[in-house]
Parts: sequence; C-alpha cells; structure tokens
Amino acid sequence: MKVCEQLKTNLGELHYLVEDLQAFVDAEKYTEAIVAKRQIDVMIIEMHEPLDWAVDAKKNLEGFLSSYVDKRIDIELKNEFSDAGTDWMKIEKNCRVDIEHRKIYIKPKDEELDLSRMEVVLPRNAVIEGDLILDQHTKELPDDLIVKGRLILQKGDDFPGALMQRIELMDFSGNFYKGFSIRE
Amino acid sequence: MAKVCKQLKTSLGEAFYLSEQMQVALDKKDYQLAKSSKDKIEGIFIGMNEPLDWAYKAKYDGLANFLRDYMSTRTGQKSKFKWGLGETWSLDEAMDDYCEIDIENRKIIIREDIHPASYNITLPENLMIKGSLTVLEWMKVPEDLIVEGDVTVISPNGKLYEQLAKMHDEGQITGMLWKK
Repeated sequence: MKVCEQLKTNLGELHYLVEDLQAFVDAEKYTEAIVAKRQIDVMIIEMHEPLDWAVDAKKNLEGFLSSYVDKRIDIELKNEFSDAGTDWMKIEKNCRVDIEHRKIYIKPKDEELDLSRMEVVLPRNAVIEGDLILDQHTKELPDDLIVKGRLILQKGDDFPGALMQRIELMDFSGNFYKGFSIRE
Repeated sequence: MAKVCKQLKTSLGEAFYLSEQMQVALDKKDYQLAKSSKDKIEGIFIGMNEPLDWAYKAKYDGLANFLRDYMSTRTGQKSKFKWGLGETWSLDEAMDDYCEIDIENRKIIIREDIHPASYNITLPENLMIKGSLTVLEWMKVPEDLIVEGDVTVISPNGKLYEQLAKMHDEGQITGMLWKK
C-alpha cells in the first residue's frame, strides 16, 4: 500500500525523537529535551497540511461517489464502478487518495465513467483512470481534472459555451491524455 | 536512576501509543483517525512545555547558579563543606551526585548540608535541602524553602529568624531551629 512518503518520514522521525526525548528526560538533560521537543513540534506542524488535505480529499471523494450512486439510480443506469450496487463505500475501494501527489484517483470498472444526464460535480484534484463522458448536464469541471483516457462530450445545442472553452484550454494543457472528442 | 516526572512519562507513553495508532490509521487510509491522533499528539506535546521549561529553568538558572556561587566560595575559602567534591569540582558532578530536579513536585533537591560562607549567595526558589542549613541573619531565604534537617541562624537579631521560626512552626523545617 502506497502511503505518503512525507508522512511516513515524519512519523519515523517522530518515533525517533520521542525516544530521544525520553532518554534526555531520564538523564535530566533538559536543554537537549527541549530541543528534541521543538523538533517534534516541527514534525507535527509539517503533518498538518497533508493530513488536512487527505481528510478533505476523502470527504470530497465520498461526496462525489455518494452523489453519483444516487443519480445513477434516479436515471436507472448501471453502476460503472463495480458490482457493489449502491454501496458507495465498497465502490470507494476502486478509488484512492494519493497524498503524495495530492490526487484523487477514480477508477471506473470498464474504464469509462459516464456522467451524462447527471448533475454531479467531480472533486478537485480528481484523476479519472479511463474515459470520461459528459453532456450539457455538466455545470462545473475542476480546472485540475486529469482524464487518463479520452474526454467525450455528448454535445447538445445547449452545451455551455464557457465550459466548452475551458475544456479546450484544459485539452491544450494536456489534462486529457487521449484528447477529447465530441459525440453529436 | 533519577526520579522522572510521572506526567512527562505518561505523556511520552501516550505519544508513543498515538503515533503507532496514527501509523496504522495511515496504512488503512483512515485519515480522519490519523488526523485526530495527530491532534492528540500535538496536545500532549503542548502539555509538556510547562514541566520541561520549569525543569530547564530550575536546573540551569536556579540550581546551577547557586552551585557555582556556593562551591566557588567554599573552594576559595578552603572550607570543609565541599561535600565530596575536590578542588577541581565540576558543576555536572555536583548536580548529578548531590542534587535532583523533582519535576513532579516542582522541587530542586540538594542532598547535602549547606553552610553559606558569603551573604551574597542566594538560595534558589523551590529548594528542598535534605541536610542541615546555616544562614546569616542578613541573608534572604525563599519562602517556599523546605529543610529536612536542622537550621542554624548566625547573629539572630532580625526578621530572618522570625521568618524561619514561622517556617519551622508550619513544618517546612523538620529538624531543630538553632540560634548561634
């Protein structure tokens, strides 16, 4: 299991420093104890940001999956994540939060995530491990979205112009590894 | 083995436990638990600031300053009250062999007789002497001083004797109070 290297390093360092601190306290070496404690404080402060990010990312992923499952049921479409039915917590196992790279990986079962006919919002920092299908129901798209497959737009007449512009810009920036296409 | 503050020991043990819990939580990608463990660890270390700062000041400001003054004066006067330390005594040796910092009870403990040769010597706050003490009338004695032994006052004609008599009545001096 891949765990954030920074957090692991900090935890390892924390263990080491706590042992040091214990030895210094035992030896009544309070100058050294205070230095070790200050280093521990720094270790802990450094862990704030990645952990806060991970907690938020996981919450956002859960929110997205839960909303996705509800919407799929509403429009009576198959679940693209697994055979886990409506249990988004099981679906979540197909997804992962990568603290190291600050990314939320979303992996649909057949490498295609169809968000057409659904008003769901993808979380920030999302990486779709496959194709992504959108249509005019899509109102928002995070700027930092990565699609490892192709972005497919089921374009109706009322596809928002501003969103179209953004998609073109994102494609230009290389956010869609296999480009994007429009399905009329 | 020095007597170590129970609060610090408990805090360190708790920090160990929580950092292990945090590691497990991270492996399981339970970030909420990891964050909550980290917040608890942070709280524990914040709680350690006060006892560690106290211990630092007690040892290096209070005790060390007193020992430097006291031992240098005694050595200069070739006094017999140099504890077991020789002419080339060291501060670390004096602190390690004859003193103790009791963080738990916020006490600086000296396990020897103290006979100040100079009235310039100031006894530190939070001092407990496990031995006898001789003071000169013009010396200042901290109000929280505890002496587990006899106290002798030289030239007792002022307020110091009254202060010590009160401390004796209140049990801070467990031995006899003498005038000389």
